[in-house]
Amino acid sequence: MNKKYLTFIIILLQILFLSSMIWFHVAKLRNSTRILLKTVPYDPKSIFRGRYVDLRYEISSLDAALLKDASPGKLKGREALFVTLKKEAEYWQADAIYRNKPKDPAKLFIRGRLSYYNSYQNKINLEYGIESFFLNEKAADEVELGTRRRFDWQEEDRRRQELIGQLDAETQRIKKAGITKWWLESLDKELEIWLKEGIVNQETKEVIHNKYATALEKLAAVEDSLRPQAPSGQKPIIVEIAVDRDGSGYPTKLLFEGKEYR
Amino acid sequence: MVSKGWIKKLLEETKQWVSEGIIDEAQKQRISSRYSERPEYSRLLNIVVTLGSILIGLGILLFVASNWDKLSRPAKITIIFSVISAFNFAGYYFRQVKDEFPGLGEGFLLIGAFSFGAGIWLIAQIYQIHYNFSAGILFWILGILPFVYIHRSWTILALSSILCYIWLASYQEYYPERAGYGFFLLAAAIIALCYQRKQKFSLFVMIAALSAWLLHFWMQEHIVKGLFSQNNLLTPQLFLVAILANLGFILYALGIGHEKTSRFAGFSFLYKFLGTLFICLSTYSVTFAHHYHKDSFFYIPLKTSLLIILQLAAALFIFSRLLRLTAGAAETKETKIVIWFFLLQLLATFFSLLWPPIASLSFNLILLVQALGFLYIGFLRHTEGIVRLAIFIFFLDILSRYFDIFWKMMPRSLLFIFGGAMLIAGATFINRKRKQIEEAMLKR
Repeated sequence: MNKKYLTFIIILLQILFLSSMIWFHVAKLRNSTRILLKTVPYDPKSIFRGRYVDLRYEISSLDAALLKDASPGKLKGREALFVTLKKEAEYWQADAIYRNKPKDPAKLFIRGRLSYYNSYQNKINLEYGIESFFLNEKAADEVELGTRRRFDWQEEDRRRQELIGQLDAETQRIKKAGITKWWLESLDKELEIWLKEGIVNQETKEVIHNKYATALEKLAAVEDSLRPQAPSGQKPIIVEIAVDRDGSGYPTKLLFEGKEYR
Repeated sequence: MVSKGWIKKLLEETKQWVSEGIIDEAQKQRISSRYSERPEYSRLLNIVVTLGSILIGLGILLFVASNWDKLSRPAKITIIFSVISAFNFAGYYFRQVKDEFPGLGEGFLLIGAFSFGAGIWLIAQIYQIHYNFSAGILFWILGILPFVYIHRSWTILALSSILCYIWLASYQEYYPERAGYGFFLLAAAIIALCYQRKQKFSLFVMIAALSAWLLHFWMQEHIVKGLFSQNNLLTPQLFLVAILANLGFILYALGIGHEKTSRFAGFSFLYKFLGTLFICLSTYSVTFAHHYHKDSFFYIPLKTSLLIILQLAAALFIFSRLLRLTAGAAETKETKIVIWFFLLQLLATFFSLLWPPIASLSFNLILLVQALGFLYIGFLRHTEGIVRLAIFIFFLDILSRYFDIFWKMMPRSLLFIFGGAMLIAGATFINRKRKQIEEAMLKR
């Protein structure tokens, strides 16, 4: 075939593909349920997509007890999980987590992927593919300024110190020594070797492990209690999500300080 | 369109034709004048045009970005579609219709390819479409690859091969549990176009991507399942070495095979060079004694073993074909040496798996044999690149063993002083030897 026509056909196919992206997206939005979710914002830049708000939702980190059809330790890296949702006042909250797709048509669910399971805090962290919302420069500045103005890092740190001060002396010492869960993971591996070589017995091994594990759990709980609270009176960013029948979510609207961003 | 290299050879050949009386001086001048201006002209033009194309592309993107807030959705989409169409048509026009400006056509086609990629992400941004990064890259490649076939565009082919590598890396990062067999379909298409366009760079990128795929495949069975640990380094490593060395042998055999073809003989060196590199470096990685631990245990990883069997079958098939095809004494000798290396590596891996303490010693001996063997092959086949690589491997081995052996025996200061002196003296000696070998190769 003539190269001129082939070139024309390929350009047409490229444009058709880009148009189909729009068409499929619009069609999916038309047949989906709209829900409102609460978030906590960040603000990085993407090399490909310009300005966007990076979002964390309340449903991004969930209590592992919500997992109904498996034990959290058995979850594999980045596997698909289904979170059923229930409406509380205006906003939607997580009701339960399932490994298998819920069959009850009455239940609204959103599909996510396991990000990681935090065994210390017993939290399942998920990603839903709705973690960013594109904004133009002006809108991104408005949201960024709005969140920065009210976010008081000093206040958060003061509260952190106050909560840590209420913990026992050994936990405070462990915090001061800079011991982390990664340090403990290495220690656990070494303890296994010490046990094999007869340096420690099972009981001593457990005592050493528990000493740090307990302290780290307490410290994690402090961080956890700081995280979900909106910093000093800030209204949270709300995102309207369109959820289709398969549980895929698509952000459609961002609501902040009475303004609507699309 | 002919390449600069082709013209250079032609001008050399015309001198020969005159001396043989095939053409006279006047004819030679006519031929020379037809081509002599073109290489410099086209090189300068290509650089200027490529820079100009990039500036135009950046200018358009900046203009759109600075006015993005003021544009409505339909206006944004119209701009994206117009930019894609305009650059691709301009590319077609200057590549096929006004073919005296092939560089200009190439530049426009490249901007067209970038515009399509930018279009995917811009539309995703405008409509808040969230799909994973690897899917966007895949659509980008699929959208621009036909232009490589139609316009024989080397820049789009190079871009596609790099994007293929990025796609593979992002796919494996997003789906660590999947092997990503789809890579082979995409790789086959790109490699076929490398052959159509005779482009070595993209072929090199695709071979690198293939090794990354193999590494991920190995990681899935060994690291994810926890078989690779501080106490069990050697056994998983031997399986990885088997995979990469087999890839090296297959590549080297393909290199010998390509010499037999008149059209693709140009790829031969790339295959041989990468083959030598994979073979020697994978052997080198097992030469360290500390990789063996007394708690090492033997196991048979099912998926990895199947892959190795497939590789062995492919290598044996290619080697058997080569033995029938190779004609000259040097060629046959080269094939036989590589087959011996292949069998030696196979035996060393097998016995090291069964009796791990022998691994370091046997692979050290094999590496020495390989370095000297490839040096001989390079000399035999007049391949400077292989000679240099073999010298490098030999030197690397000597230096590694020096530090390996004397690390605990000598004070650090002396170790480094002697090491540095050895490095300088060795480099001078080897450079002299290399020159002697290369001169001897020229005389032969």
